[in-house]
Parts: sequence; structure tokens; C-alpha cells
Amino acid sequence: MADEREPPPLFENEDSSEKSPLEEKTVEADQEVNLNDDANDDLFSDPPLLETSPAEDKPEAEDEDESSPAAEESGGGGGILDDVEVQEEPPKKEEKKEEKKEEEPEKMDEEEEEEMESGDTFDVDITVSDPQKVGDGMGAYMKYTVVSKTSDPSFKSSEMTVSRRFSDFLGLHQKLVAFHTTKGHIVPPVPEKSVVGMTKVKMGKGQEENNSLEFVEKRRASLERFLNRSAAHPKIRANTDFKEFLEKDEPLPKASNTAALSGAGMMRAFNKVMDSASKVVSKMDESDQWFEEKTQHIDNLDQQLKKLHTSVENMVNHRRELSNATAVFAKSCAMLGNAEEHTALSRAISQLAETEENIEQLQSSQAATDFYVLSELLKDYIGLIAAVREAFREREKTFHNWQTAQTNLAKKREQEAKLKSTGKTEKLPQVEQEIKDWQERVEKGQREFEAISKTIRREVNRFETNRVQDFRSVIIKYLESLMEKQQKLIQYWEAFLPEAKAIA
Amino acid sequence: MDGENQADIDDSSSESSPNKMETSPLDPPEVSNQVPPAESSDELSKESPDTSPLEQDTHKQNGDEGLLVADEEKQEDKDEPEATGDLPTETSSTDTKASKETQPSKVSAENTPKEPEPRQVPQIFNNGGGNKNKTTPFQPWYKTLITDAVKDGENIIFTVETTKLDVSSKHFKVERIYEDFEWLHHCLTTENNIGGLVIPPLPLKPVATAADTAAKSRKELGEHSKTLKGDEFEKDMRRLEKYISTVIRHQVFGRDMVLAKFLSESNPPVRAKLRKSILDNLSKAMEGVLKGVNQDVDESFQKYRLNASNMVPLAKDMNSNFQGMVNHSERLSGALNHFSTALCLVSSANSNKTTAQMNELQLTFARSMEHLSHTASVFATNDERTLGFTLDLYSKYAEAVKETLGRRTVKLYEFNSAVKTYDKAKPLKKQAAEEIKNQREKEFNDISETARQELDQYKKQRIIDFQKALVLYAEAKVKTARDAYALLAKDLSSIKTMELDGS
Repeated sequence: MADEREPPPLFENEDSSEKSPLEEKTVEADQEVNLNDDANDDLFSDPPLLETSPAEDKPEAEDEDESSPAAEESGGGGGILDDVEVQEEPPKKEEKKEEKKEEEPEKMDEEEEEEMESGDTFDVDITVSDPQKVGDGMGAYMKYTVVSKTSDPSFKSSEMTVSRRFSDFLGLHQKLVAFHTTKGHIVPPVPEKSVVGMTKVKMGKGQEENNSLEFVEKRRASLERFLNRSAAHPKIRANTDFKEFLEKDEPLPKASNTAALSGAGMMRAFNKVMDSASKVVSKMDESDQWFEEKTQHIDNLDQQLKKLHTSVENMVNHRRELSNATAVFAKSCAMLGNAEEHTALSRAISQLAETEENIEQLQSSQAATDFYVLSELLKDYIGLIAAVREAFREREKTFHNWQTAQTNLAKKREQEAKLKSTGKTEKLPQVEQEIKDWQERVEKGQREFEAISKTIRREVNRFETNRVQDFRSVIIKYLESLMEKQQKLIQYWEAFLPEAKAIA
Repeated sequence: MDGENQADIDDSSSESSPNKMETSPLDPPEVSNQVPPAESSDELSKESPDTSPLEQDTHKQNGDEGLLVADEEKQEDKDEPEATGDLPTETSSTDTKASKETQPSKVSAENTPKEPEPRQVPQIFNNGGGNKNKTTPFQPWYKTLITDAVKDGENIIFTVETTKLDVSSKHFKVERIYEDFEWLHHCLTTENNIGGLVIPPLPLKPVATAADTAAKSRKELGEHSKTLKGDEFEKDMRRLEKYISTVIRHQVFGRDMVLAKFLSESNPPVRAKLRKSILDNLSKAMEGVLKGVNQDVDESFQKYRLNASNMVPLAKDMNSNFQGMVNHSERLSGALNHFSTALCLVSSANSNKTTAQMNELQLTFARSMEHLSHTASVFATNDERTLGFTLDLYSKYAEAVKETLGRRTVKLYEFNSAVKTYDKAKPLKKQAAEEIKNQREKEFNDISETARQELDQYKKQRIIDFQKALVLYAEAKVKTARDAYALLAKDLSSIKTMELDGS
């Protein structure tokens, strides 16, 4: 997940020249429908396909192997998997062929532009560590050490260490949202304020409780990801509040309006409700197909991610339960081993108990990995998608403003016309002034709307690219951990085998 | 690979070194059948490999160094006497026959004083061509497999195929339902003098009705599981097969007429309604008696009893905990499968390269989760077939052993009472009392002797079974883990190479 901080080195296709925004829009619209084979030559060309064909043979072979332990009875099961395997391959291939016919030049260009504008080639690596409980009772809070290392010269120094408390993070996030979302930027999510979780920590004696330890660790990791993602965003990195957060040695002014149970909190909640009500009412006329598609896409993604997240949580629970069940079994093995008269069998069973215990450790650490790696990632993305939605809504608001300005302008013009026709010219200058104002506003509105639309496009692309990379690196990490686990399993059981064989 | 095994036997009376029978050069040394030793207690707790000298059973499939396969059938085969490659010579060389009295399959009912056989064994069931050798232990007369289970209304009909292990090698194929097995068990235990015998435990009734199956599945997979387990008659088949196999190999039960009829007659035996209450009352009576008698005359038996008592709950716990583990593994498999499906559904229209990449990524990941799910379920299945099966069997056997010792204790109690009565008896009754006393003493000695042999036999067999199970269990795990590793590696590499050139 730290990969994010690196600006995605984009597409190698640099042939298409930079087009102007307007041109881009139309070209885009065309290309959505355009089945352009040439566009994707290097990216989705043969290598991936070739790779899958030999691989096609392997799944079956592997499945054969796998199905033999399950004996004849499960042979059918293995066979079924084979079928699935084979079927999966062809559709994928078809998909790939379709993918070839897609466009990317303009988007890439936009990104390139953007990157070049911000000179975004610096690394920022942030770690959040060492959670400490400060104070006692209900007034207690956690403080974290934030260490930032960067090669970006716009920062005070290349390595900075500060101490921040949780509400500082929340305050920063609020400021970033207030500033950036209105521009259509996607601000990474922060962990929520959790009254339950924090109360456990506050009331707990030191940091011994497992639950609160877990909670704190979850939070720490989440805060770290928040900072790193923010730093990866070129605009946010340049934000003074953000910089101050990372650089300023002294404690930040208390962000009191982030308190969970406060007047300000209530106001915020209330405003949120009002906002969502207005969202329902003002449905924007979407003229841009891209946005319409994206909105749909984002909505779907949201739903799916939520389902995935539930599914992963389910998985984590089951792993934990399996791990517990293994521990229980190990104990009863040990007891039987002790009671067993036959020495060799007794030894073997005790050895079995030990092996099962080791396996149990493995499983519970696997459950933890599942959790920290997969589940939290999904949660982050659900948060990010919410941020995307926020950006979209801001755009709608902007549009709305623009439209309102236009309506008002029209009204004023009408008024002017009426005045002119009826001959009452005293108010005319005033109305003409107002018309000018509204005209300005209309123009401003349009500019803003177009700016935010452009920004959002960029942001969404960036989001999607990052998403692929994020997921990919997470999946790789996860698979590697799974493989490691299997290796260890093999080790443990192979170590046990001689004991078992030596029984009689 | 002729193995001679040293079993640690702390029992004073038995001699050591049971022979292990090789089933095939490739198979690990294991198996031996449950051959009850002959009556004489000297060197004979040897189990000589049981071969049906003339028959080789066709069901051998022993080409499995695929222990990995943990196929219960294969286990069965190894247990079976007619393991491959056994030659009578092996037996003769290793067996010290000298003092061994046999229970060879002789025509007449061999009633040694110790083991009364209530009925004549008719000629036809004789293992005629076999060992007239006085020193070989009991050779089973049949080999039986349960080859099919079909649901019929509320009953499950099992197909029981038997081959007679003698010159005729007749083959029988009959259909039986669980109640037939139950009836068989009832007859075996009531019509024989079960005294010091360790009775093979009868498996529980298979779950047959839809409602019961659903309830069982919910229990195992959890209340909220979205999947249901289907009928699992295989397990019942294996259990019943093992049961029949242990009965067949038992020196007393193996020769029983009811068994013979059970295995050979097409029409199921006529059953009387079983009143379970009788059996229950018996064991309750025993409980009462057992509590009263504290000290045993024989130290080794005292040890046996203590051990047996301890073992019962431990074995039960270990079995049920193991089952719990298997269930959870299955649940995990379900969850992984669900996750994999969810991943497959998270796809979007391939509007651009990034979404296409995303889709590919997700699909590959989904596939590897599917692999993982399959792995978890393979683990569960193998676990159950190897160690699970053995734990289940021996937790029931632990009870049976305890009961056997209980019966002996009852006899001890009776003997003690008879002694007291004799001591107190008035001259008139002295004679009668003495007779009773002597009889009780003899009964007690008989049962002790039988029990000792049975328990020896049992212990050896148990060690062997456990060893086999543990080895298969571990080997299956290793293999499955290796396979899983390979599959994951492939998925990983396809993801790694996926976007190396791209974004």
C-alpha cells in the first residue's frame, strides 16, 4: 500500500500529442465507441495471452494432483474444477481481445500534463508509529509519532518527526476536505471516531487488553495509509495545512470541532442530512456521458466493494474459529498423549498436539493477515469511493450554481426588457448593473464547472490507476503470505511424520 | 519389507513381537488384522499374518503409495487379511506355532473350555482348505465390502458384498438396512458368551431423513451457513464396513451363524423389535457393582481399569474436537468460495485499460481464492478419512473396553460374594456353597483370561491403526499443502507478470 505514493508511471504510448481539453472531450466521446485496434498495441498484446495458454494446461494437471488426495470420491470434485478452469480461460481471452479496442491517449495525456505541471516526481514516505496513551480516564487520548521522509524540496527538511493526536488527524482531514473536495479532488479517508473503541482504550489498564491493542493497531495503520495516500496526491501534498501537519514541531491547535459529542458535531451531522436531502432534490442534467457512466460505475463499485468487504470479514471470522478449534483439539491431544500407556504412541500424540498448536499459530496469524491486508484495504476503498462521490456532488453543486446564475441572469434580462418596454427607466441602470453581475457569475460558474469537471476526470483516472496498483500489490502480498503459510504447513507435517512412523 | 514390530506391551502376560504384515512392497508396514490370539497364553500374542492361503481378493487396489489419498477403502484393504503378496510361508516362518492351540476353522464347533461356542458351525462355512495348523490364530472366513448406499424413503439400503475365503470362494451380494446391522449386533452379543470379549462397536444410525440431514448440516456448518451438506452415506458405508470387518475377524463372532446368514442370505433376517431398555439396564446394574468393588486382585487389571476409565472421556473429547476442527475447515472453505464468487462479480464494463486490468486482476485473484477453497475442503475430507475415522472408532472402542472390564469386575464381585457365602455357610449348605464358589472362581478366571487376551489383541491393533492413521493424516496434509502451494505460485506469477509492462 505504500506503493501509492509513487506517481504512477503511466502509459508508454506517447505518440498522441496533447490535445486541448475541448478536443479531448469530443475525441473521448468518439473513442468510447471506437474499436481501435491500434491503440493498444503494446499494452494488451500477446504476452499476457501467451502466458495464459501454457498456464491453461497447468491448472488441470495441478487439479489432478490435488484431487487425488481426496480420493476417488472427490475425483469428481477435482474434475469439476478442471472444467471451470478451462471455461474461465476462454472468456478471459475474449475479454482481453475486447480490451484491445479501447482508448487511452487523451487520458494519459491529461495525466501527463498534470504530472508535469506539478513536477510530481518526489517521494514522500510517512510512518505512523508508537501509539501512546496520554492521560487517564475519559480525558485520555492516544498520541502517535509521525515520521516523514521526503525528497521534495518544498518541505522544511528531508526528515521530520512530530507527535500528533488522533483529533489532529481528524482536523487535518476536515480541512483538506473543505479545501479540496470543492475542487473535485478525492481526499483519502480517515478512520472514524469510534467512541466504543476509544473508551475501551481509555478505560483499559495500559495496553494489555487484546481488543484495545487490536483497535489501536488498526487505527494506527489506517492513519498511516491516510497520510501516505494524501502525500501521493500532488495537490494535497502542496497544501499548507498538510505540510504544517507533517512539519510543525509543536502540538497543533486543538481541533475541537472534531469532538464526537459536541455542539459542533451535532451541527455537522445536521448539515450532512441537509446536504443529502438536497442531493436528492437537485438531480443534475448530465450532458457528459463520461460522468454518467462514471457515476454508475462508482455506484456499482461501491456496492460490490461493500459485499467483498463483508465476505472478507466472514472469511476472517472463520479462520479465527478454525484456529480456535485447532487449539482446542491440540489440548485434547496433549491430554490423551499424557494418559496413553504405549510410549511410542504417547510420544507421537504429544507431538501431534505440538504440531497442531503450531498450525494454530499459523492460522491465527493468517487470519490477522487476511484482516489487515485485505479487509482494511477494502474498507479504505469504500472510504475513497465515498470521497469520489463527494467530488461528484461538488461538481453538481457547481453546476447548480451556474444554472442558478443563468436563471437569474435571464430573469434580470427579462426585467430589463420589461422596464425598457414600459419606459420606467429609473431602475434601468441598476438592473443593467445586476445583469453585468449575473453575467460575470454565469461565466464564473461555467468556468468553475468546467474546471471541476476536468479535475474530477483526472482524479478519477488517477484513482482507478492507483486502485489497480494498490490491489495488485496487496494481492501479491497476500498470495505470498498464503504461500508462506503452506510452506510452513509442509514443514510442520513433515517434521511430524517420522514420529508417526516410529510408533510401531 | 518384512516387518517385525515391537509393540510395547506392558501387560505382563503377553509376549511380544506381533508380526506385521506387508500388504505390498510399497505400503508402509502396518496392518495386521484383528486376530485374536489363541487360548494359550504363551508366546502367542503373535498375530501371524492372515492370509487366506488360497484366495486373493480382487479388491486390492493397493497401488497407493498414495497414502496421500487417505482413502478409507485402501485402509480397509490393508486391514484385510488377504493383503497382497502374502505367502503362507511368511506366516509359518515367523510364527511360533508350537504351543499354540488354534481355533482353526474346523468343522466342529471348537469348544475349548474357555470359549464356548453355542452352536455347531455347519460345514459349508468352513474355511476348509485353510489352516489346519493348530498354531495359527483365527482366520477370517470372509471378506466383506460395502459397495453402495442408496436412499429409499427413510431407509438407506447398503449393498454388502462378501467373498467366502475358502476353496469355494463364493460370492454373495445382499442388501441390508441399518436395522439389520443393529439386529446382527444384538444377536451376536446376546447369543454368545461375551464375557471377556471386546465387542466391536456398532456405528450410529445414519442420518436419512431430509429434516435430520438438514439439522446435522446446520450443526456442522453453522446456523448461518448458506450451504447445506448433502447426504454423506460414504461415511456410514465406511463405518459399517469397518464394523463388519472387525466382527468377521473376531474369533468368536466371526464364526457366528447369524453373521453368516447376514452376509449371505438375500432376504434380510427376520428382526424382532429391539427393546433397548434391556441393554441399558444391564449396564446400569454394572455401574452399581463397579462402584462397590475397589481393589482388584490383579495389579495389571487394576491398571487396565484405571486406564480404560481415563481413556473414555479423553478419546471422546479428542474425537469431537477433531470433528469440530474438520467442520470449521469446511466452513472456511465455504467462506472462501463465497469470497471468490463475490470477486468474480466485481467487474465492470471494460471501458478502459485500467478497468480491464482491474478485472483481470480480480478474476485471477478469484481463481486463486477458489483454489484455496478447494484446498480447505480437501484438507477437511482427508482429515476426516484418516485420523477422524480412527479417532471415532477408538473412542467407541474405549467404551467397549471399559464394558469388558466391567463385566469381569462383576464376575469378581460374584466370586467374592460366593467366597463370603461359603465362609458363612452352615455345614449343611457348605457343599453347595463350595460348588458355587468353585464355579464362580472358574468363571472369573475364564473371563480374566479371555479379557487379557482380547485386551492385548485390542491394544496391538489400536497401535497399528493409530500409526497408520497418523501417517496417512500427515502425508495427506503434506501433499495437499504442496499442491496448494503450486497453485498459488502459479496464480501469483500470473498476477506479477500481468502489468509489468503497463501502468
